[in-house]
Amino acid sequence: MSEKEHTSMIVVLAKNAIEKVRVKLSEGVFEAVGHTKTEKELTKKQKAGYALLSAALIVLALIVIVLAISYVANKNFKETFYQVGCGKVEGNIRIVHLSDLHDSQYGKDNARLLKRIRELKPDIICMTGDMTDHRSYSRKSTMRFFKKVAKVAPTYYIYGNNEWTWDFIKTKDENELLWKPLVDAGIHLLQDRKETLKVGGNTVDIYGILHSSPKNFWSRAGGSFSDAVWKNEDDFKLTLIHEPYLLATKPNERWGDLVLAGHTHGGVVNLPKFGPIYEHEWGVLPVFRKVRCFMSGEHSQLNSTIIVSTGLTNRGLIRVNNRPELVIIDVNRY
Amino acid sequence: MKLILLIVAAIMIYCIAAICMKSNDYSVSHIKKVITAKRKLKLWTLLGGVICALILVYSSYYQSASGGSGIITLNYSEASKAQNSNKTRFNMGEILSDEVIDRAIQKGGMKGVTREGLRKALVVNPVVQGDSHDRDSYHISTEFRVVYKANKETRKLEPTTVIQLVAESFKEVYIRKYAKNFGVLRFRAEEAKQFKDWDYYDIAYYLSMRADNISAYMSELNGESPSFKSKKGMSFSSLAAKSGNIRTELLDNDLLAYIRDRGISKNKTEMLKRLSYNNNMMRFDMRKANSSFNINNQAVEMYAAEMTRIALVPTIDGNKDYYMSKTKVGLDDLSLAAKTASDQAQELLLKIRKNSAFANSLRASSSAFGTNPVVDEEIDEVVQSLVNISRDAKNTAQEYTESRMNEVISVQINYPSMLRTAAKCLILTLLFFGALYVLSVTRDYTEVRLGE
Repeated sequence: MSEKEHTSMIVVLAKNAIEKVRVKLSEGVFEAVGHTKTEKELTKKQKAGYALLSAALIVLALIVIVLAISYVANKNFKETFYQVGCGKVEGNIRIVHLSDLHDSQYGKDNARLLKRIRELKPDIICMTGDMTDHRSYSRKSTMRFFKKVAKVAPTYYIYGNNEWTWDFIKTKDENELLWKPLVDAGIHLLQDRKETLKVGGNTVDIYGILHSSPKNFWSRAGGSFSDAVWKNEDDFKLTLIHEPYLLATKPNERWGDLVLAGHTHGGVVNLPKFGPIYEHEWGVLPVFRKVRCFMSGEHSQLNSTIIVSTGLTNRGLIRVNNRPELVIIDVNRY
Repeated sequence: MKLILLIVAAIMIYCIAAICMKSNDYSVSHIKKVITAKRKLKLWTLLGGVICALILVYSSYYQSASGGSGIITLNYSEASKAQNSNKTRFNMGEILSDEVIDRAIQKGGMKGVTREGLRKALVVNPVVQGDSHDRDSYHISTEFRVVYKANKETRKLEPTTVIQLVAESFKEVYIRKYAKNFGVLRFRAEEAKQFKDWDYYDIAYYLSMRADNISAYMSELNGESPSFKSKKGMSFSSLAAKSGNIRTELLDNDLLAYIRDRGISKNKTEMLKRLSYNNNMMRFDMRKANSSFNINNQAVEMYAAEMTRIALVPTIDGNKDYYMSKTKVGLDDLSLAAKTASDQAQELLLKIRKNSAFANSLRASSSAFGTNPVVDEEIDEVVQSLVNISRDAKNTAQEYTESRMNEVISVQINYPSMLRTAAKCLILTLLFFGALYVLSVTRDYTEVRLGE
């Protein structure tokens, strides 16, 4: 059978199938309202079938409406403001937290996002990974955004699973490594190390975790992390981590005064009353089942405040009731 | 939403009237029979239902995007008397004061929004509105509802964000205004740089004063909350004891005693002059205190015996227990004044003796100028101890005030419920669709009659 014949056969089959569904649907709808047959003439089985079909159609229509609304709503990001109290801080430290952009575009080279960041006047900008995807068509645009954003305020970046996989596993070409353009853009790339900066009269120690897998974190970075958290206790300790799983494995560990994370995308679909429907580490309806997890928002653990961003991406699966998010954190004595 | 209900009601009234007029049968059973008769489902009714659903979804979205509200609750005992936590009068207008609005604009990076523009979009009201003219319904509210309704200037802002920023700004302004100031506790190592030009005796006195300040502050906070413990496990009593130890052990018994006994000074001549001057001034004050003591004693002796009798008055204490209270008489005041003057004189005499002893040691000392490495080392030790204790004291006090003040004001933002909105839209759509269906049935019924 030639390719042409094959295609025409598929088209015919599809047409037949659509026609059958159309006939069934019209029979269902009209018979259900007693147009062609009276209700008494329908068997119980038929009635149940039509009811099921009608319900399925209604649900399908609702899902399509919700997805359409969500798709439009996700074209813009929301802003979530947090206020974190810390006795160590004099005045106010404003942190803008970006995560999981996945090369999404809010205007040309993310001009809208950049404009808002400028208007918010941050003291520190933190990016907690998965900001860019390897070989994405808009990666160059994201890099241009990085260059501009690094001029707004000191910008600290940690790798997410995407960047990590690319730089350490996939790419063999040195010119394609991600860290080079990041550093060239003026971004402070933190890979299991600490940097200290002064904001107003405050000293801020920022530690960035390279890879947040609980399996090898302590053997790989335990020493430098402990030094960063336990030395100079009067400094404000800020920890950046991509996946928040590590935090849940050691609830009695001191993770810093403020921990910023991302990765979960807030579970992508967020059902009212039930919360996020799925997260691959924490399973189905983790918040509803009260699993110990950090899906999104603000959490308190020991002496640390943990803030998990739902991320800025609007690509891939459509986020429902969970708009892309730009996080703004004010750290002060209140 | 009200409009949809109105349209549904109008259609239903029209349909019922039409059925009745065409059939000349006004019975409910007849109307019911016509309406429930099975008819063809018309496409326009379905389309009408879909259009209604779309309008409702859009209007719900528009409503949630143009307005919102939140509740600010004052959670301290004085609030029920319309007072701030420091017992000054609370004014509801403070929630939307210039400072709060400016702070909210600045926090939210609201470009192009003016103070007046944002204020016009906000209204604050007590949750329970009492009547000040009627004693029975008189109510002092401790809960205030902040309502936001977007105007031309603020239409791009998200209502829940605006409410959150205003509430947070109010909380910050309130805490800044009424929280305790812990600046007095701060002692940084850099402060020791100013000691370079000071004499050892002055340095020791300055450090003693700082230790006393910390100790007094901690004792005061301990009185307020004896059971409070910081996250590091520190209590105010332990901190007061630690700073007291620095004062007595490191400063009085160690540093000051060493300086006095050995007669150590960076400038002996100058120090002797100052000690002499201080002693002269203190002797003058001591004479005043002694005179005051004598005068008060004479007054006590002159007090008539019949005026010293004490009357016992039955009264109740805070726990509503009875006890017999003594009435105070003038003699009590005179005795107290005499004792105070006597104590003051004693204290001054002690200081004069210490100064004199120090002056004698200075005269006996061989070195007239310059620094002393032993004293320098001891001062460094005291400074380090004070830096540590002041940091712990400040952090503990900060933690205490934060936990207390953060509970003083709570904010609850009313987020629009997606489920409730969806249910409302669905019910209204079904109602509208039902009304259209009844309309189509009525039209069919009319056509049948006309056909007959």
